[in-house]
Amino acid sequence: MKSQVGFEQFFSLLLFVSSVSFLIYQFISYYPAYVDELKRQALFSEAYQISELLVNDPGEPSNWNNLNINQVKRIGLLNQTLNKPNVISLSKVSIANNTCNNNYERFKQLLDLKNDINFVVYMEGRVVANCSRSLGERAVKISRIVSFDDKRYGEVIIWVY
Amino acid sequence: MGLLGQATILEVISALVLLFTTFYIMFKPIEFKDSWKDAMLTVLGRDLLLSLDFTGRLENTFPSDEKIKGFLEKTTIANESIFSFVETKGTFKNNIIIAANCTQERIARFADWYALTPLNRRYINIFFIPTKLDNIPEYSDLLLICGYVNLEKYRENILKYLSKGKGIIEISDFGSTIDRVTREIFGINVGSSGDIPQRKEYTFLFVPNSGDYNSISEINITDPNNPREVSRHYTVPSGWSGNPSRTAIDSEGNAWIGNRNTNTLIKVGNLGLGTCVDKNGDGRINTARDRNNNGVIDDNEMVDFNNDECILREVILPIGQNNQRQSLSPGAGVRAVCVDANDNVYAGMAPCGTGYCGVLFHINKEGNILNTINLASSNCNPYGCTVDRNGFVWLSCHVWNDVDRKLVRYNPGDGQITVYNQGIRVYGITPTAAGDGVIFNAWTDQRVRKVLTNGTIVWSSTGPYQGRGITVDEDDNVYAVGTSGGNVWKYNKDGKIQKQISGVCGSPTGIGLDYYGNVWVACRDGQIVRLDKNLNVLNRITIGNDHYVYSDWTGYLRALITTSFNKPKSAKSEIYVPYKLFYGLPIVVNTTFTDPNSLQYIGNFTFRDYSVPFEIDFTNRRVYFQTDRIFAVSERQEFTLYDFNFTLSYILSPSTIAIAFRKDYSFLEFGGPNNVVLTDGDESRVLLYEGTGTSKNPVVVVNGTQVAWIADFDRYRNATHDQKLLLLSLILAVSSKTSFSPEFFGAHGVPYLNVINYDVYEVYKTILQISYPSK
Repeated sequence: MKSQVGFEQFFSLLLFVSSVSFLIYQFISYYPAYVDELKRQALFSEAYQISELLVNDPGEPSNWNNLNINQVKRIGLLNQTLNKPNVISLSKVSIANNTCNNNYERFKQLLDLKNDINFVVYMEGRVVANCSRSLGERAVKISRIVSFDDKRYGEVIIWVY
Repeated sequence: MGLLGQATILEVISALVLLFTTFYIMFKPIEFKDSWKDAMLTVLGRDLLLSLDFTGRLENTFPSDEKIKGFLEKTTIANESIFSFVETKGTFKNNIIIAANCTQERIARFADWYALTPLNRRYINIFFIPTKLDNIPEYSDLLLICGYVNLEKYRENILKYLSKGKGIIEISDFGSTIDRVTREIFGINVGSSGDIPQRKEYTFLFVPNSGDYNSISEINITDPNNPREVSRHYTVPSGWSGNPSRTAIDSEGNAWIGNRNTNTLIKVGNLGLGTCVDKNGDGRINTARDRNNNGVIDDNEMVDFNNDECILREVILPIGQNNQRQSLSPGAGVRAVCVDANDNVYAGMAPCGTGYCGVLFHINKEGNILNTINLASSNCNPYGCTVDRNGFVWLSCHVWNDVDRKLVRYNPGDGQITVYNQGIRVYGITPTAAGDGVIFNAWTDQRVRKVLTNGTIVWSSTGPYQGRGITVDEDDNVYAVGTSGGNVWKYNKDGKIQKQISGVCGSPTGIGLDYYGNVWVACRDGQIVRLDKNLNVLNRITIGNDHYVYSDWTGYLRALITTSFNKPKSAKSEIYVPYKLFYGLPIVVNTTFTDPNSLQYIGNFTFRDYSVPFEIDFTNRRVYFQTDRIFAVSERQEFTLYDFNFTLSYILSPSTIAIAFRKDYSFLEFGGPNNVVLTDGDESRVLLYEGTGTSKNPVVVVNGTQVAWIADFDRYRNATHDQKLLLLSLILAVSSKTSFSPEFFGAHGVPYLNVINYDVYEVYKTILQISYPSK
């Protein structure tokens, strides 16, 4: 007796195959975006941490801006004398800018960065530090409003990519 | 089959719809969501507030969000559309609306005084709107009532208003009665309306035990029927002859007494009021006490001068270059002793010995000599003194074996010394309660005379023989003592004799009042006699001996001439806020005309009886004040005018400055026909007293944190800047602190606790509401 495949059976098979195909398609199409988003989140997290380090940490030693760069263990921009949150030292900004532009790898090392970084510091609308390169395919930006030790204010913007 | 086929197609369609719906539901929501945007908004808000605060813009921004937007314009954030709103809680509002139940004329005056008040580098705008008590605007922050109003029919309205956290101030004088609701709301009554609580505070007087008794007695007269000696103190060390006499009381109840046989005067603490000092830190005050409770200090209860912890200071008046305590011939030492409104002391030695002839010493409350005033131009050797309401020091003078026939007036403001020859001897002197002059007793010339501050003789009446002590009551009735025959005479304020009695005691010398209407007479036979104001003898007691005193030994006269703060004991006190505000809050002082030569603005800064001209040099940010000299003051600089300290808080414009008063300022006079008492007897509610010690009369009273009464200092439309500042302090203290707080859906509230101490200490919470408008 020859078996017959009925319409219902055929349709059920079709339904099953299309469902599985759809799921596989969804998975394949979401996966890169998901991974991308994970990386972006990690960058955001790192960028925020770096921004906190820059605006609320004086660095190690705290007077590192007066030392040879080889003696520095960690970069931070907070004015250690005033020691007030978000009050950064103009001198440290200048040294950090020079280090970033002239010795980028050392700069990254002093921030323990695995990714790359660009940063720009504005003082009341005027650029006072700029260490920028071409951004990678994935970059996150964090902007922090800060005060300078001369009572002016500005903004520290960093991109981590 | 056809039927089956139809059914299958329907099932297929249903299955497909179901399938895609399921896929849609399952996969559509799968999208990446995070909270970085929200988190960064919060970080932005925090960064913004920190930077505004550090750069000094937070108080300027306060509470306008427009300024924040201006701040952000210099950042890249300006490119992003951000919504922000700042609200503040717990401090003075930027705009205070006062519902004023006052005449248009008074509202215009208030608006002129307070329209724009600088505080902690921002402005507080105070708006006055006329209002009726039966319809108080709900949007107002404070109700100001000018003049006495019977509040009985407005009780519900006022209580409802208070229940919303708003404040009420009444600036008024009272007649003989006040209504029930005013009593209830302000917690005050007037003296003549009955049902007045009994004063329970410690009441005292000091009398010297002169001659070789070398001591001064503190006597408790809280129960005037039963005076008791609380303590007694030697005025010189053992082996010295002090012969103390003139006694004056300061605002804290301490006594200053001069030794007539040495060049020393002593500041004695008040044991009953607790102003003695535990110098050796043993936890107790080592001084003479009535240990056997017999009402007097016996010899065996006395404590040595050097160990007596109620001896707060011994001031040695230098004789030439000699700054040591010296034994002088009897009566050749300290004579004149009086205390001014700031508790500084004036003292002088009368006989003209080498090096100290014609000198008046000005001594601060710590016992340091501030100034040595040369009286040579007046040829006066100080014998007695008193200070009047205007701060003038009046002196009687000594000539060889007699008192001189002149009154000498020293003006501490300009250093001027003026002699008013009287032709009769000038002995005991009293200032008038009105502050218009002095009245003196004329020793053997048998006169009692009133002299105005400009030297004009107002009246001169017959006085008792050997007229020594003299005093006045609050109505300027005069009480004078004649030693010979034990006389006490009473005059009305026009010099008309009201009553004369004699034989009061053996050789009365001093006479003084307390605030309860008792007249006390100190006698050389050791008696202290209490009279009523009609000169009826009420009771007498012998305590110590040889009470040779005719100055302000009860403190009543000093109390008559001063109006001073009742300093709050802690920050919990109801009067703490307005008291602290007074010492810090700047009062705006406007100029009145322009100098045609310099084109600079000129005005007058007024306080007490002083009117100090000033000129603003706006270009160089300086203000020139003119007293007896002209001096320049810069912004934020402290300066002194007539012994009072100020700060030039702001130079606001070419025509306006703002000045803050510094401790310890004391007012001259509020006065008015007010005999206010407290319904609950809680004297910690009194912000300002007229008078001190036992003669205190409240002129500013607060009740809770929302209600205050102040005597109408502007009754003659002549308010001075110190008085205006006091009312402003009350306005800020009791006005509503509740801000309008709109809620914005989706906005992130970033709280920030801010502290400012530029003019006054201010703590408040700023909440920055921030969001992207798309939310």
